[in-house]
Amino acid sequence: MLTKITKMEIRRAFFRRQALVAFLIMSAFFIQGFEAYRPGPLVPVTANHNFYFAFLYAHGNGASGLLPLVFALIVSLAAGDSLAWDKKSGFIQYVLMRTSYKTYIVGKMVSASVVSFVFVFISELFCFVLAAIQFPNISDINKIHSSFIPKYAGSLFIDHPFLYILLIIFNSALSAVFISMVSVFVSTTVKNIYIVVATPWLLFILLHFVLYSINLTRYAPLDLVGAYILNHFSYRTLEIPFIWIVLSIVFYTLTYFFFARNFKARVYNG
Amino acid sequence: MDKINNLVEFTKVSKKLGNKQVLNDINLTVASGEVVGIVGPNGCGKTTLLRLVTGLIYPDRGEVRVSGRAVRLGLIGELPASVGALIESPAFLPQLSGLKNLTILADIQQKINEQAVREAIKRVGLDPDNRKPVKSYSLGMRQRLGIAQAIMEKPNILLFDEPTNGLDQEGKILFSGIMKEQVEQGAAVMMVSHNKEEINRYCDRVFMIQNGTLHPVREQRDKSWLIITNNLSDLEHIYQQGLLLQITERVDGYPAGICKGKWKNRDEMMSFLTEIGVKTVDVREVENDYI
Repeated sequence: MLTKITKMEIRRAFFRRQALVAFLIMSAFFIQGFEAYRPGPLVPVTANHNFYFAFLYAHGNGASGLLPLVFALIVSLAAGDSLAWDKKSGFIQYVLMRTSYKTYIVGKMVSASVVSFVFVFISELFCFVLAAIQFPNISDINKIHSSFIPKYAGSLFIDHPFLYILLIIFNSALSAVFISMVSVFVSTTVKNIYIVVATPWLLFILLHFVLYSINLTRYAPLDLVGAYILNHFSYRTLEIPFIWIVLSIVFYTLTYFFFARNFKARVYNG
Repeated sequence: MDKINNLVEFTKVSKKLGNKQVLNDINLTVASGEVVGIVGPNGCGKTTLLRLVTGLIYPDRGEVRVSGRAVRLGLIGELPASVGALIESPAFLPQLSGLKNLTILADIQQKINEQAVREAIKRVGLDPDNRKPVKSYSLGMRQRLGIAQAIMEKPNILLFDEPTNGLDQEGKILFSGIMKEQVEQGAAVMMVSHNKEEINRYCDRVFMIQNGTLHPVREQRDKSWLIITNNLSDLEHIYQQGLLLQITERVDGYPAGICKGKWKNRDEMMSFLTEIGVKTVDVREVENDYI
Protein backbone atom coordinates (compact mmCIF):
# COMPACT_ATOMS: atom_id res chain seq x y z
CA MET A 1 0.00 0.00 0.00
CA LEU A 2 2.86 2.39 0.85
CA THR A 3 4.42 1.85 -2.57
CA LYS A 4 1.07 2.58 -4.24
CA ILE A 5 0.57 5.79 -2.26
CA THR A 6 4.13 6.94 -2.93
CA LYS A 7 3.90 6.22 -6.65
CA MET A 8 0.57 8.00 -6.82
CA GLU A 9 1.98 11.04 -5.02
CA ILE A 10 5.09 11.17 -7.19
CA ARG A 11 2.99 11.00 -10.36
CA ARG A 12 0.75 13.70 -9.01
CA ALA A 13 3.66 16.01 -8.12
CA PHE A 14 5.57 15.74 -11.35
CA PHE A 15 2.61 16.29 -13.64
CA ARG A 16 1.36 19.57 -12.29
CA ARG A 17 2.07 23.06 -13.53
CA GLN A 18 3.84 24.11 -10.33
CA ALA A 19 6.73 21.74 -11.00
CA LEU A 20 7.20 23.29 -14.44
CA VAL A 21 7.05 26.81 -12.99
CA ALA A 22 9.63 25.87 -10.36
CA PHE A 23 11.88 24.40 -13.05
CA LEU A 24 11.63 27.56 -15.14
CA ILE A 25 12.43 29.76 -12.15
CA MET A 26 15.46 27.66 -11.29
CA SER A 27 16.68 27.76 -14.87
CA ALA A 28 16.17 31.53 -14.95
CA PHE A 29 18.34 32.02 -11.88
CA PHE A 30 21.04 29.80 -13.30
CA ILE A 31 20.95 31.80 -16.52
CA GLN A 32 21.19 34.99 -14.45
CA GLY A 33 24.26 33.55 -12.75
CA PHE A 34 25.81 32.54 -16.08
CA GLU A 35 25.34 36.07 -17.39
CA ALA A 36 26.92 37.51 -14.25
CA TYR A 37 29.86 35.14 -14.68
CA ARG A 38 30.34 35.84 -18.37
CA PRO A 39 33.47 37.97 -18.89
CA GLY A 40 33.27 41.20 -20.80
CA PRO A 41 34.22 41.26 -24.51
CA LEU A 42 37.64 42.74 -23.81
CA VAL A 43 38.56 40.25 -21.06
CA PRO A 44 40.83 37.44 -22.30
CA VAL A 45 39.55 33.90 -21.74
CA THR A 46 41.88 31.83 -19.58
CA ALA A 47 41.88 28.37 -18.07
CA ASN A 48 40.20 29.97 -15.03
CA HIS A 49 37.20 30.58 -17.20
CA ASN A 50 35.22 27.44 -18.00
CA PHE A 51 31.73 25.93 -17.76
CA TYR A 52 32.48 24.18 -14.45
CA PHE A 53 33.15 27.47 -12.79
CA ALA A 54 30.21 29.06 -14.59
CA PHE A 55 27.95 26.43 -13.04
CA LEU A 56 29.49 26.82 -9.58
CA TYR A 57 29.28 30.59 -9.83
CA ALA A 58 25.60 30.51 -10.73
CA HIS A 59 25.05 27.89 -8.06
CA GLY A 60 25.81 30.50 -5.44
CA ASN A 61 29.53 30.40 -5.34
CA GLY A 62 29.84 33.76 -7.03
CA ALA A 63 29.07 37.18 -5.62
CA SER A 64 26.27 37.72 -8.12
CA GLY A 65 24.87 34.20 -8.00
CA LEU A 66 21.39 34.71 -6.61
CA LEU A 67 20.16 31.11 -6.63
CA PRO A 68 20.72 30.42 -2.90
CA LEU A 69 18.41 33.30 -2.05
CA VAL A 70 15.47 31.63 -3.76
CA PHE A 71 16.48 27.97 -3.75
CA ALA A 72 14.28 27.03 -0.81
CA LEU A 73 11.26 28.75 -2.37
CA ILE A 74 11.74 26.92 -5.65
CA VAL A 75 11.92 23.54 -3.94
CA SER A 76 8.85 24.18 -1.78
CA LEU A 77 6.93 25.24 -4.85
CA ALA A 78 7.86 22.03 -6.66
CA ALA A 79 7.46 19.53 -3.88
CA GLY A 80 6.32 20.90 -0.54
CA ASP A 81 2.62 21.74 -0.63
CA SER A 82 0.85 18.49 -1.48
CA LEU A 83 -0.27 17.78 2.10
CA ALA A 84 -1.47 21.34 2.54
CA TRP A 85 -3.59 21.08 -0.60
CA ASP A 86 -5.11 17.81 0.56
CA LYS A 87 -6.08 19.36 3.89
CA LYS A 88 -7.22 22.70 2.53
CA SER A 89 -9.46 21.14 -0.12
CA GLY A 90 -10.80 18.39 2.14
CA PHE A 91 -9.52 15.77 -0.31
CA ILE A 92 -7.64 14.18 2.57
CA GLN A 93 -10.85 12.64 3.93
CA TYR A 94 -11.34 10.64 0.72
CA VAL A 95 -7.74 9.48 0.86
CA LEU A 96 -7.96 8.54 4.54
CA MET A 97 -10.99 6.37 3.84
CA ARG A 98 -8.82 4.31 1.54
CA THR A 99 -5.60 4.03 3.50
CA SER A 100 -4.28 4.29 7.05
CA TYR A 101 -3.04 7.62 8.36
CA LYS A 102 0.42 6.13 8.93
CA THR A 103 0.73 4.95 5.34
CA TYR A 104 -0.58 8.29 4.14
CA ILE A 105 1.91 10.49 5.97
CA VAL A 106 4.88 8.21 5.29
CA GLY A 107 3.87 8.14 1.63
CA LYS A 108 3.68 11.93 1.60
CA MET A 109 7.12 12.28 3.18
CA VAL A 110 8.76 9.72 0.91
CA SER A 111 7.18 11.17 -2.21
CA ALA A 112 8.08 14.76 -1.24
CA SER A 113 11.66 13.62 -0.67
CA VAL A 114 11.86 11.74 -3.95
CA VAL A 115 10.21 14.53 -5.95
CA SER A 116 12.41 17.25 -4.45
CA PHE A 117 15.58 15.20 -4.89
CA VAL A 118 14.84 14.24 -8.48
CA PHE A 119 13.54 17.70 -9.35
CA VAL A 120 16.71 19.45 -8.15
CA PHE A 121 19.03 16.79 -9.55
CA ILE A 122 17.52 16.92 -13.02
CA SER A 123 17.10 20.70 -13.05
CA GLU A 124 20.68 21.35 -12.00
CA LEU A 125 22.00 18.78 -14.44
CA PHE A 126 20.04 20.51 -17.19
CA CYS A 127 21.52 23.85 -16.12
CA PHE A 128 24.98 22.33 -16.11
CA VAL A 129 24.42 21.26 -19.71
CA LEU A 130 23.34 24.84 -20.47
CA ALA A 131 26.62 26.05 -19.01
CA ALA A 132 28.57 23.47 -21.03
CA ILE A 133 26.96 24.76 -24.20
CA GLN A 134 27.76 28.39 -23.48
CA PHE A 135 31.22 28.30 -21.89
CA PRO A 136 34.51 26.63 -22.77
CA ASN A 137 35.84 23.45 -21.23
CA ILE A 138 38.92 23.43 -19.02
CA SER A 139 41.88 23.52 -21.40
CA ASP A 140 44.49 22.56 -18.83
CA ILE A 141 43.55 22.00 -15.22
CA ASN A 142 47.11 22.67 -14.09
CA LYS A 143 46.84 26.20 -15.42
CA ILE A 144 43.95 27.07 -13.13
CA HIS A 145 45.02 29.48 -10.42
CA SER A 146 44.88 27.88 -6.97
CA SER A 147 42.59 30.57 -5.67
CA PHE A 148 39.96 29.40 -8.15
CA ILE A 149 40.07 25.75 -7.10
CA PRO A 150 37.12 25.03 -4.81
CA LYS A 151 37.94 24.65 -1.12
CA TYR A 152 35.28 21.99 -0.71
CA ALA A 153 36.54 18.59 -2.03
CA GLY A 154 39.12 20.40 -4.12
CA SER A 155 41.10 17.29 -4.98
CA LEU A 156 38.00 15.71 -6.52
CA PHE A 157 37.59 18.76 -8.68
CA ILE A 158 41.17 18.52 -9.93
CA ASP A 159 40.94 14.77 -10.64
CA HIS A 160 37.37 14.46 -11.86
CA PRO A 161 35.64 17.80 -12.39
CA PHE A 162 32.45 16.22 -13.74
CA LEU A 163 32.13 13.96 -10.69
CA TYR A 164 32.70 17.04 -8.60
CA ILE A 165 29.73 18.72 -10.25
CA LEU A 166 27.65 15.62 -9.56
CA LEU A 167 28.67 15.83 -5.91
CA ILE A 168 27.58 19.47 -5.73
CA ILE A 169 24.27 18.61 -7.41
CA PHE A 170 23.86 15.67 -5.03
CA ASN A 171 24.36 18.00 -2.04
CA SER A 172 21.79 20.41 -3.46
CA ALA A 173 19.34 17.57 -3.97
CA LEU A 174 19.80 16.48 -0.36
CA SER A 175 19.19 20.02 0.82
CA ALA A 176 16.00 19.96 -1.27
CA VAL A 177 14.82 16.89 0.63
CA PHE A 178 15.23 18.82 3.88
CA ILE A 179 13.44 21.86 2.48
CA SER A 180 10.49 19.80 1.28
CA MET A 181 10.30 18.15 4.70
CA VAL A 182 10.07 21.53 6.37
CA SER A 183 7.11 22.37 4.13
CA VAL A 184 5.41 19.05 4.85
CA PHE A 185 6.04 19.57 8.56
CA VAL A 186 4.44 23.00 8.46
CA SER A 187 1.50 21.46 6.57
CA THR A 188 0.73 19.18 9.52
CA THR A 189 -0.64 22.21 11.37
CA VAL A 190 -1.19 24.87 8.73
CA LYS A 191 -3.49 24.76 5.71
CA ASN A 192 -2.46 28.08 4.17
CA ILE A 193 -0.55 27.22 1.00
CA TYR A 194 1.42 30.47 0.97
CA ILE A 195 2.71 29.91 4.51
CA VAL A 196 3.61 26.30 3.72
CA VAL A 197 5.58 27.27 0.61
CA ALA A 198 7.20 30.36 2.07
CA THR A 199 8.24 29.00 5.49
CA PRO A 200 11.41 27.11 4.46
CA TRP A 201 12.54 30.11 2.43
CA LEU A 202 11.91 32.57 5.26
CA LEU A 203 13.49 30.16 7.71
CA PHE A 204 16.62 29.95 5.57
CA ILE A 205 16.94 33.71 5.32
CA LEU A 206 16.13 34.38 8.96
CA LEU A 207 18.42 31.68 10.28
CA HIS A 208 21.19 32.83 7.97
CA PHE A 209 21.09 36.35 9.37
CA VAL A 210 20.76 35.16 12.96
CA LEU A 211 23.76 32.85 12.65
CA TYR A 212 25.80 35.58 10.99
CA SER A 213 24.90 38.06 13.68
CA ILE A 214 26.08 35.70 16.44
CA ASN A 215 29.16 34.71 14.46
CA LEU A 216 28.10 31.10 13.90
CA THR A 217 28.42 31.36 10.16
CA ARG A 218 29.70 27.82 9.46
CA TYR A 219 26.15 26.46 9.28
CA ALA A 220 24.37 29.46 7.82
CA PRO A 221 21.77 27.93 5.46
CA LEU A 222 22.28 30.14 2.44
CA ASP A 223 26.00 29.33 2.50
CA LEU A 224 25.28 25.65 2.86
CA VAL A 225 23.46 25.66 -0.48
CA GLY A 226 25.98 27.74 -2.38
CA ALA A 227 28.96 29.53 -0.93
CA TYR A 228 30.27 26.50 1.00
CA ILE A 229 32.15 25.48 -2.14
CA LEU A 230 34.65 28.29 -1.93
CA ASN A 231 34.40 29.70 1.55
CA HIS A 232 37.06 29.47 4.21
CA PHE A 233 35.45 26.87 6.47
CA SER A 234 36.95 23.95 4.53
CA TYR A 235 34.08 21.59 5.04
CA ARG A 236 34.90 17.91 4.86
CA THR A 237 33.46 16.18 1.81
CA LEU A 238 30.84 14.19 3.73
CA GLU A 239 30.03 16.99 6.14
CA ILE A 240 27.60 18.78 3.85
CA PRO A 241 25.50 15.73 2.87
CA PHE A 242 25.62 14.58 6.49
CA ILE A 243 24.14 17.88 7.69
CA TRP A 244 21.23 17.64 5.25
CA ILE A 245 20.59 13.97 5.99
CA VAL A 246 20.50 14.55 9.75
CA LEU A 247 18.25 17.57 9.42
CA SER A 248 15.93 15.64 7.10
CA ILE A 249 15.70 12.76 9.57
CA VAL A 250 14.85 15.20 12.35
CA PHE A 251 12.05 16.67 10.27
CA TYR A 252 10.80 13.23 9.14
CA THR A 253 10.39 12.37 12.80
CA LEU A 254 8.78 15.66 13.75
CA THR A 255 6.41 15.51 10.78
CA TYR A 256 5.27 11.97 11.55
CA PHE A 257 4.81 12.77 15.23
CA PHE A 258 2.83 15.95 14.65
CA PHE A 259 0.64 14.48 11.92
CA ALA A 260 -0.17 11.40 14.03
CA ARG A 261 -0.89 13.55 17.08
CA ASN A 262 -3.18 15.92 15.17
CA PHE A 263 -4.94 13.05 13.42
CA LYS A 264 -5.60 11.18 16.66
CA ALA A 265 -6.84 14.37 18.32
CA ARG A 266 -9.26 14.89 15.45
CA VAL A 267 -10.45 11.28 15.47
CA TYR A 268 -11.16 11.34 19.18
CA ASN A 269 -12.46 14.88 19.51
CA GLY A 270 -14.14 15.22 16.13
CA MET B 1 -32.12 -10.08 10.32
CA ASP B 2 -29.27 -12.55 9.94
CA LYS B 3 -26.28 -11.04 11.73
CA ILE B 4 -23.92 -11.98 8.92
CA ASN B 5 -25.83 -9.65 6.59
CA ASN B 6 -25.43 -6.67 8.93
CA LEU B 7 -22.68 -4.72 7.28
CA VAL B 8 -22.86 -1.81 9.72
CA GLU B 9 -23.50 -2.16 13.44
CA PHE B 10 -23.60 0.59 16.05
CA THR B 11 -23.57 -0.78 19.60
CA LYS B 12 -24.14 1.69 22.44
CA VAL B 13 -22.27 4.39 20.60
CA SER B 14 -21.82 7.76 22.25
CA LYS B 15 -19.93 10.72 20.94
CA LYS B 16 -19.19 14.15 22.32
CA LEU B 17 -18.03 17.00 20.09
CA GLY B 18 -16.56 19.78 22.17
CA ASN B 19 -18.93 20.22 25.10
CA LYS B 20 -21.95 18.83 23.33
CA GLN B 21 -23.09 15.21 23.75
CA VAL B 22 -24.02 14.69 20.11
CA LEU B 23 -24.81 10.99 20.18
CA ASN B 24 -25.94 9.00 23.18
CA ASP B 25 -26.15 5.23 23.35
CA ILE B 26 -26.93 4.64 19.68
CA ASN B 27 -27.82 1.15 18.57
CA LEU B 28 -28.35 0.59 14.89
CA THR B 29 -27.74 -2.03 12.23
CA VAL B 30 -27.78 -1.72 8.47
CA ALA B 31 -28.04 -4.89 6.46
CA SER B 32 -26.85 -5.71 2.99
CA GLY B 33 -29.32 -4.40 0.42
CA GLU B 34 -31.00 -2.12 2.93
CA VAL B 35 -31.35 1.65 2.88
CA VAL B 36 -31.56 3.34 6.27
CA GLY B 37 -32.52 6.99 6.44
CA ILE B 38 -31.43 9.33 9.20
CA VAL B 39 -33.34 12.56 9.74
CA GLY B 40 -33.28 15.27 12.34
CA PRO B 41 -32.71 18.98 12.88
CA ASN B 42 -29.46 20.72 11.97
CA GLY B 43 -26.61 19.88 14.31
CA CYS B 44 -28.29 16.83 15.81
CA GLY B 45 -25.51 14.42 14.88
CA LYS B 46 -26.59 12.91 11.56
CA THR B 47 -23.30 13.60 9.81
CA THR B 48 -21.39 12.50 12.90
CA LEU B 49 -23.11 9.14 12.66
CA LEU B 50 -21.91 8.70 9.09
CA ARG B 51 -18.39 9.81 9.93
CA LEU B 52 -18.18 7.16 12.63
CA VAL B 53 -18.61 4.47 9.98
CA THR B 54 -15.75 5.86 7.89
CA GLY B 55 -13.42 5.79 10.88
CA LEU B 56 -12.58 9.46 10.44
CA ILE B 57 -13.86 9.98 13.96
CA TYR B 58 -14.04 7.51 16.79
CA PRO B 59 -16.78 6.95 19.35
CA ASP B 60 -16.18 7.93 22.99
CA ARG B 61 -18.10 4.86 24.13
CA GLY B 62 -19.48 1.83 22.38
CA GLU B 63 -18.42 0.29 19.13
CA VAL B 64 -18.97 0.63 15.41
CA ARG B 65 -18.52 -2.55 13.42
CA VAL B 66 -18.16 -2.85 9.69
CA SER B 67 -18.69 -6.36 8.33
CA GLY B 68 -18.25 -7.68 11.85
CA ARG B 69 -14.94 -5.91 12.40
CA ALA B 70 -14.65 -3.06 14.87
CA VAL B 71 -13.58 0.28 13.48
CA ARG B 72 -10.44 1.15 15.38
CA LEU B 73 -7.77 3.78 15.07
CA GLY B 74 -5.41 2.85 12.31
CA LEU B 75 -7.84 0.45 10.70
CA ILE B 76 -9.01 3.00 8.18
CA GLY B 77 -8.45 1.78 4.68
CA GLU B 78 -8.12 -1.78 5.91
CA LEU B 79 -11.72 -2.42 6.80
CA PRO B 80 -13.06 -5.74 5.48
CA ALA B 81 -15.86 -4.04 3.62
CA SER B 82 -15.20 -1.10 1.39
CA VAL B 83 -16.93 2.14 2.24
CA GLY B 84 -18.00 4.73 -0.26
CA ALA B 85 -19.02 8.05 1.20
CA LEU B 86 -20.25 11.44 0.19
CA ILE B 87 -20.34 13.38 3.44
CA GLU B 88 -20.98 17.12 3.52
CA SER B 89 -19.73 19.02 0.47
CA PRO B 90 -17.72 17.12 -2.13
CA ALA B 91 -14.03 17.88 -1.62
CA PHE B 92 -11.62 17.64 -4.51
CA LEU B 93 -8.27 19.07 -5.52
CA PRO B 94 -9.44 22.23 -7.28
CA GLN B 95 -6.63 22.49 -9.80
CA LEU B 96 -7.13 18.99 -11.22
CA SER B 97 -9.85 17.65 -13.50
CA GLY B 98 -12.58 15.34 -12.26
CA LEU B 99 -10.98 12.33 -13.89
CA LYS B 100 -7.57 13.15 -12.39
CA ASN B 101 -9.07 13.52 -8.92
CA LEU B 102 -10.84 10.18 -9.06
CA THR B 103 -7.87 8.44 -10.67
CA ILE B 104 -5.67 9.56 -7.77
CA LEU B 105 -8.15 8.02 -5.33
CA ALA B 106 -8.53 4.85 -7.38
CA ASP B 107 -4.74 4.46 -7.49
CA ILE B 108 -4.59 4.09 -3.72
CA GLN B 109 -6.18 0.68 -3.40
CA GLN B 110 -6.02 -0.17 -7.12
CA LYS B 111 -9.29 -2.07 -7.00
CA ILE B 112 -10.35 -0.50 -10.28
CA ASN B 113 -8.58 0.79 -13.36
CA GLU B 114 -8.99 4.07 -15.24
CA GLN B 115 -11.69 2.62 -17.47
CA ALA B 116 -13.85 1.89 -14.42
CA VAL B 117 -13.27 5.44 -13.17
CA ARG B 118 -14.39 6.78 -16.54
CA GLU B 119 -17.51 4.63 -16.42
CA ALA B 120 -18.36 5.92 -12.96
CA ILE B 121 -17.98 9.51 -14.15
CA LYS B 122 -20.19 8.79 -17.17
CA ARG B 123 -22.71 7.07 -14.91
CA VAL B 124 -23.31 10.32 -13.06
CA GLY B 125 -23.75 12.23 -16.31
CA LEU B 126 -20.35 13.92 -16.47
CA ASP B 127 -17.81 13.82 -19.27
CA PRO B 128 -14.62 12.00 -18.20
CA ASP B 129 -12.67 13.79 -20.95
CA ASN B 130 -13.54 17.21 -19.54
CA ARG B 131 -10.14 18.67 -18.72
CA LYS B 132 -11.44 21.66 -16.86
CA PRO B 133 -10.29 21.82 -13.25
CA VAL B 134 -12.84 21.02 -10.57
CA LYS B 135 -12.70 24.62 -9.34
CA SER B 136 -14.63 25.58 -12.48
CA TYR B 137 -17.38 23.03 -11.78
CA SER B 138 -20.86 24.07 -10.71
CA LEU B 139 -22.31 22.78 -7.41
CA GLY B 140 -24.31 20.16 -9.27
CA MET B 141 -21.26 18.93 -11.17
CA ARG B 142 -19.24 18.63 -7.99
CA GLN B 143 -22.07 16.74 -6.35
CA ARG B 144 -22.21 14.34 -9.29
CA LEU B 145 -18.44 13.88 -9.09
CA GLY B 146 -18.82 13.23 -5.36
CA ILE B 147 -21.37 10.50 -6.08
CA ALA B 148 -19.04 9.01 -8.71
CA GLN B 149 -16.25 9.01 -6.12
CA ALA B 150 -18.49 7.17 -3.67
CA ILE B 151 -19.65 4.43 -6.05
CA MET B 152 -16.69 3.91 -8.35
CA GLU B 153 -15.03 1.14 -6.33
CA LYS B 154 -18.30 -0.78 -5.94
CA PRO B 155 -18.39 -0.40 -2.17
CA ASN B 156 -20.28 -2.69 0.20
CA ILE B 157 -21.36 0.28 2.29
CA LEU B 158 -22.56 3.62 0.99
CA LEU B 159 -22.91 6.72 3.10
CA PHE B 160 -24.77 9.64 1.60
CA ASP B 161 -25.21 13.02 3.20
CA GLU B 162 -27.80 15.09 1.28
CA PRO B 163 -26.83 13.31 -1.94
CA THR B 164 -29.14 15.21 -4.26
CA ASN B 165 -28.06 18.63 -3.00
CA GLY B 166 -27.54 20.85 -6.04
CA LEU B 167 -28.68 18.20 -8.55
CA ASP B 168 -31.04 19.12 -11.33
CA GLN B 169 -33.93 16.87 -12.34
CA GLU B 170 -31.76 14.84 -14.67
CA GLY B 171 -29.21 14.40 -11.90
CA LYS B 172 -31.89 13.21 -9.49
CA ILE B 173 -33.12 10.65 -12.00
CA LEU B 174 -29.56 9.42 -12.49
CA PHE B 175 -29.16 9.18 -8.73
CA SER B 176 -32.35 7.13 -8.46
CA GLY B 177 -30.96 4.66 -10.96
CA ILE B 178 -27.67 4.51 -9.09
CA MET B 179 -29.45 3.83 -5.79
CA LYS B 180 -31.45 1.03 -7.33
CA GLU B 181 -28.31 -0.57 -8.78
CA GLN B 182 -26.37 -0.29 -5.53
CA VAL B 183 -29.17 -1.82 -3.46
CA GLU B 184 -29.61 -4.64 -5.97
CA GLN B 185 -25.88 -5.31 -5.71
CA GLY B 186 -26.29 -5.70 -1.96
CA ALA B 187 -24.82 -2.45 -0.69
CA ALA B 188 -25.84 -1.31 2.77
CA VAL B 189 -26.81 2.33 2.45
CA MET B 190 -27.11 5.01 5.10
CA MET B 191 -28.66 8.23 3.93
CA VAL B 192 -28.99 11.57 5.66
CA SER B 193 -31.43 13.99 4.16
CA HIS B 194 -33.74 16.87 5.00
CA ASN B 195 -35.77 16.01 1.92
CA LYS B 196 -38.82 14.02 3.03
CA GLU B 197 -39.61 12.87 -0.47
CA GLU B 198 -36.10 11.50 -0.85
CA ILE B 199 -36.28 9.69 2.47
CA ASN B 200 -39.65 8.19 1.67
CA ARG B 201 -38.58 7.17 -1.79
CA TYR B 202 -35.31 5.45 -1.00
CA CYS B 203 -35.34 4.32 2.60
CA ASP B 204 -36.53 1.01 3.96
CA ARG B 205 -36.21 2.17 7.54
CA VAL B 206 -36.05 5.71 8.87
CA PHE B 207 -34.74 7.00 12.17
CA MET B 208 -34.70 10.42 13.72
CA ILE B 209 -31.94 11.74 15.95
CA GLN B 210 -33.33 13.79 18.77
CA ASN B 211 -31.32 14.93 21.78
CA GLY B 212 -28.59 12.52 20.76
CA THR B 213 -30.76 9.44 20.71
CA LEU B 214 -32.15 7.47 17.82
CA HIS B 215 -35.90 7.15 17.42
CA PRO B 216 -37.57 4.96 14.81
CA VAL B 217 -39.79 6.86 12.42
CA ARG B 218 -40.50 4.01 10.07
CA GLU B 219 -39.51 0.46 10.93
CA GLN B 220 -40.25 -1.11 7.62
CA ARG B 221 -40.81 0.06 4.12
CA ASP B 222 -44.21 -0.57 2.69
CA LYS B 223 -44.09 -3.23 0.03
CA SER B 224 -46.19 -3.10 -3.08
CA TRP B 225 -48.32 -6.10 -4.10
CA LEU B 226 -50.01 -6.82 -7.38
CA ILE B 227 -53.30 -8.54 -6.56
CA ILE B 228 -55.07 -10.34 -9.39
CA THR B 229 -58.66 -11.35 -8.66
CA ASN B 230 -61.50 -13.06 -10.46
CA ASN B 231 -63.74 -10.03 -10.36
CA LEU B 232 -63.82 -6.33 -9.57
CA SER B 233 -65.91 -6.76 -6.45
CA ASP B 234 -62.97 -8.51 -4.75
CA LEU B 235 -60.81 -5.49 -5.45
CA GLU B 236 -63.59 -3.26 -4.12
CA HIS B 237 -63.65 -5.34 -0.96
CA ILE B 238 -59.94 -4.76 -0.44
CA TYR B 239 -60.48 -1.03 -0.92
CA GLN B 240 -63.25 -1.06 1.68
CA GLN B 241 -60.73 -2.31 4.27
CA GLY B 242 -59.21 1.17 4.17
CA LEU B 243 -56.12 0.08 2.25
CA LEU B 244 -54.47 2.11 -0.47
CA LEU B 245 -55.33 0.31 -3.68
CA GLN B 246 -54.49 1.48 -7.18
CA ILE B 247 -56.38 -0.25 -9.99
CA THR B 248 -54.09 -1.23 -12.84
CA GLU B 249 -54.42 -2.81 -16.25
CA ARG B 250 -55.95 -6.26 -16.38
CA VAL B 251 -53.51 -9.15 -16.19
CA ASP B 252 -54.40 -12.02 -18.52
CA GLY B 253 -57.90 -10.64 -18.64
CA TYR B 254 -58.33 -10.57 -14.86
CA PRO B 255 -58.87 -7.39 -12.83
CA ALA B 256 -55.76 -6.29 -10.93
CA GLY B 257 -54.64 -3.64 -8.49
CA ILE B 258 -51.52 -2.62 -6.59
CA CYS B 259 -51.75 -2.44 -2.83
CA LYS B 260 -49.09 -1.12 -0.42
CA GLY B 261 -48.64 -2.42 3.08
CA LYS B 262 -46.34 -3.81 5.71
CA TRP B 263 -46.79 -7.50 4.91
CA LYS B 264 -43.35 -9.05 5.00
CA ASN B 265 -43.87 -11.77 2.43
CA ARG B 266 -46.41 -13.33 0.08
CA ASP B 267 -47.68 -15.80 2.66
CA GLU B 268 -48.56 -12.98 5.04
CA MET B 269 -50.33 -11.16 2.26
CA MET B 270 -52.28 -14.26 1.22
CA SER B 271 -53.30 -14.88 4.85
CA PHE B 272 -54.66 -11.39 5.13
CA LEU B 273 -56.63 -11.65 1.89
CA THR B 274 -58.10 -14.97 2.97
CA GLU B 275 -59.07 -13.45 6.32
CA ILE B 276 -61.03 -10.69 4.65
CA GLY B 277 -62.64 -13.15 2.26
CA VAL B 278 -60.94 -12.15 -0.97
CA LYS B 279 -60.24 -14.89 -3.49
CA THR B 280 -57.26 -14.25 -5.74
CA VAL B 281 -55.89 -15.58 -8.99
CA ASP B 282 -52.38 -14.51 -8.04
CA VAL B 283 -50.47 -12.20 -5.74
CA ARG B 284 -47.05 -10.86 -6.69
CA GLU B 285 -44.61 -8.57 -4.98
CA VAL B 286 -43.85 -5.49 -7.06
CA GLU B 287 -40.31 -4.01 -7.00
CA ASN B 288 -39.94 -0.65 -5.32
CA ASP B 289 -39.80 1.99 -7.97
CA TYR B 290 -37.34 4.72 -6.95
CA ILE B 291 -38.38 6.91 -9.81
